[in-house]
Amino acid sequence: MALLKNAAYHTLVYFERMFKQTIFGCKMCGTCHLSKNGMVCCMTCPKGLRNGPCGGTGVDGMCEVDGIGECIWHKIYHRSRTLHGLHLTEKVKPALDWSLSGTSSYLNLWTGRDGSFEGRGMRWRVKKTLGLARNGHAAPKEEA
Amino acid sequence: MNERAPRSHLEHLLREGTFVVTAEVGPSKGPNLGLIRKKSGYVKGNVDAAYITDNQSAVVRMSPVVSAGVLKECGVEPVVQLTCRDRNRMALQSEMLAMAGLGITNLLCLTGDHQSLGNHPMARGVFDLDSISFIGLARRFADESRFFNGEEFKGVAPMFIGGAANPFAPPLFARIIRLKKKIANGVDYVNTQAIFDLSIFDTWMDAVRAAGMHEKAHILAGIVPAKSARALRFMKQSVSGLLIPDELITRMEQAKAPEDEGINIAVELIHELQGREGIAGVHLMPVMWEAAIPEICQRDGLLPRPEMANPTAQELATAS
Repeated sequence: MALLKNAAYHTLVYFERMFKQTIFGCKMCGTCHLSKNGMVCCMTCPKGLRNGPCGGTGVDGMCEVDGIGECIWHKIYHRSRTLHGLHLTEKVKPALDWSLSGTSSYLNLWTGRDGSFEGRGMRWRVKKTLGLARNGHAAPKEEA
Repeated sequence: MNERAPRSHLEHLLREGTFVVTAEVGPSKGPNLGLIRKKSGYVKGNVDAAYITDNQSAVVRMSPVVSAGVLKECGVEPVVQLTCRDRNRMALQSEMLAMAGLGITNLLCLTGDHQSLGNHPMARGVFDLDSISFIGLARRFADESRFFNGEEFKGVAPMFIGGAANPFAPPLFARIIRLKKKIANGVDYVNTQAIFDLSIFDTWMDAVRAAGMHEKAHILAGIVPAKSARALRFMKQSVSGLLIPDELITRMEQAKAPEDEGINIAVELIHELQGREGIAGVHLMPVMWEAAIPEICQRDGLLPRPEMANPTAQELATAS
């Protein structure tokens, strides 16, 4: 049973990696912010900044690192604006939990390992919507 | 900015409303502590605090904490810059503990230039944290004596925590969002990127004032005195995030004594900035030209500087 579960998990990770790496240049950080960042991966920034552009952006909006071109965070802001999600970029994002690196972000979102829904995860949200959530289903995870 | 005792001389002056002058001091690129002692001569009595850079422009130099300790021994208030490029969150905390142990209470949290711009482009950049989360965690480290994982430690490590801001990189709203995040995470003071062009700086400053952010954090304007037109051109080309107008380069080219002209330009900028609302002070960044500091302060009428009188919170804590 454990073997099956393991196989299923790794299949999920494989497909997640294949899909997101091809389309978004995903780095498998395990705490996905694509939906909060206008569908641009913030980990493709050479510094992996999750809270906004650094001081190394030129006056022309180009990254200080050669071969990157336009600052990733510029792309994020412009895309977020187009997608009407600029307010999502204004929230302070906690430091990345590197122990989740290489794991499936979808599953982390579901279980709340990435701190989503105060650590209760999407499953709590779904249960709540369906009216199944019990009070104190899971203790809220402490904010980092 | 809360009502507790000032954690450092710099904080004390900023709270009093003094127009502060700070400067940057680069540690030596060799095993030479004497260089910091020599450079302390340029800053002592001329500035209120000296910032020790952390592997500036991604070029290896002596540890900032050790250099700051030496500077403190020389009687200069040090500010330690720590970058997220070279240290993960464990190393950052160990440096912060060392700072507290040495009685250094000023910290500037930076992301750091990318390693590909320095002399070790083959190095692995750490970037475990970004400057915003570093500020938030350092705030809790200093105020609640808690490590970044939430675990408590014995004793106190008071910190006057700063961050950096770049007013020149577009778009403006992105810069404001970022500064807001830093303030939300508890930054006490903000150092700006070097200013050469006041018009764009003013637009940024207007936005800062409109959001009331100059009341939540002290804003120190960055000034780089240039030695020659060549230095300016080099900075324009290779230092990202700087806005240097062409007129300034022509002015330097036409000057008979370029070094003198460079100091004049810095002095003029400081005069202009002194009149702006919400600017708490200036931060001089003479890249490898610390000798210019006394001259600039002298010509600007910024001397004498207030004496370091008050015991800092750290000294109070260790005394009791």
